[in-house]
Amino acid sequence: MKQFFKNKFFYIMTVLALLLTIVPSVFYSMGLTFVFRDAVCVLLTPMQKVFNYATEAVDGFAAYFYKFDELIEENIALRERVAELEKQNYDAAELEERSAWMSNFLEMKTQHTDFKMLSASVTGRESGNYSKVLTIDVGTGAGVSLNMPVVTSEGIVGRITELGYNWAKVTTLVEPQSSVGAYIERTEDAGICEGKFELSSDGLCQLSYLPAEAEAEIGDRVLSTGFGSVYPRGLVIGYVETVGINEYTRSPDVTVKCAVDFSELTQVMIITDFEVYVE
Amino acid sequence: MNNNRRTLTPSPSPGEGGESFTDKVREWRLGLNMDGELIAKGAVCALLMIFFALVQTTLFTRFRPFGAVPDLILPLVIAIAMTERERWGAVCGLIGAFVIESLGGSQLTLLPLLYMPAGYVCGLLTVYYFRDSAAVRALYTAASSLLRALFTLVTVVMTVADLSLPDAFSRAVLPELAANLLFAVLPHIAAYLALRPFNKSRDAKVQ
Repeated sequence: MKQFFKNKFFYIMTVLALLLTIVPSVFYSMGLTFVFRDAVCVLLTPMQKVFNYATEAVDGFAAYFYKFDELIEENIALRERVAELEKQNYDAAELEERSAWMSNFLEMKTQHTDFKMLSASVTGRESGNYSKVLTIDVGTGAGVSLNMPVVTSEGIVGRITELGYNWAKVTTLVEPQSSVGAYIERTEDAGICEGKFELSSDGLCQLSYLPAEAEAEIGDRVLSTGFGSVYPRGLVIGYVETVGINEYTRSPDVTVKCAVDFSELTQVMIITDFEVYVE
Repeated sequence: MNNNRRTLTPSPSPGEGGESFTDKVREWRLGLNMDGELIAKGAVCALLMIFFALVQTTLFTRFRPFGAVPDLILPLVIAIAMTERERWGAVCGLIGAFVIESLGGSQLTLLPLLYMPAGYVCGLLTVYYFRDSAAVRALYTAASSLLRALFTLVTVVMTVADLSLPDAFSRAVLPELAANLLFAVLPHIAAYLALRPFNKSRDAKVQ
């Protein structure tokens, strides 16, 4: 057997094997690339790339079979993750909305230091098509009483007209039985803003009893006068939408677009106490 | 398959009397006749090696049986050695080891020291002791896989710091051994089918 390893071929092959073992390792440790190793890689890497693409394709197809359980588990996990992220997203949007609301709330508190306010959520709306009455989630239990004004940062919503321990109905400005003392901010001409059945569906109310010489222009801001002690003075009612002449009294006939969009309301503030305006 | 059983007679060294120029050239070619069949056989072996090297470094790096990449080149070298004898086994072992080390990118290149002698010894054993059969191939493959496991152990211990022996066995050596044994059949079948035409023509010449 010894003679098998004592021939020139084996010696040469052994030397080559040693060289191919030592030289690349030395080159590697020196941070260099052995030229033959480089040549092999240069030649075979493109083929390796092709094989890799093929393998990926085969693997992708085969995964339907041998990774079926794994894919189902992954699918379930991903669904749970999506649900969790959707919840987080929803919470974030809610927080953002709440933050904006609190910011407006703070702004109003800064402007009207005499106001004592209570936050409430709108829980329901009147089921009738022509009625604009809201239900909120606070009542006598939270210190709410009848005729308290309900507002948002945009302006007046209405007043409390019915209430229980933990609920209250808010009759909005556009309801026919609603009326509030109002004046045009620019000219200080005062009148009464009344809800009209034919205007309520458009979120409008009518500013009546203005003096005959009153000047109103479209876009003028209309504020509450504070007379009658239901609403504080200076709250925004809305903006002049149309201006006409009453053919009987010859005074201006003005419709006001309410500043608050009643259909979008989710949060309101109840003014539980304020300084009554005295002229 | 074992018809070309022969004795190993050392060829006369250069400079001895009666040696022609052709003999000198053959001496340089390590006794290999550079005819068309030899070139074709070389090309087939090279293609087999490249194919299995690529399969090993792409397909099996993604789909890892037992969590390890099986060595397909060593069984291929053994298959070539058993079909084409010791010189082919040694040359293919040397080249195959270098190719797979180059593609694999390991720090320590030890495989030529295993593949070359493995190919050479398997070829010699087939010529002088055991006839080529499925059982003998399985025996040689198992033995060479055990040596390969030993080489893996040495490589892992030398290149990975803070690795305990149980970890080396459970994470590298044993999974690789199992994968090698399981997939060794592929190169054997491929080499047998690809080199069969050359064997047939050789058997015809011998007869």
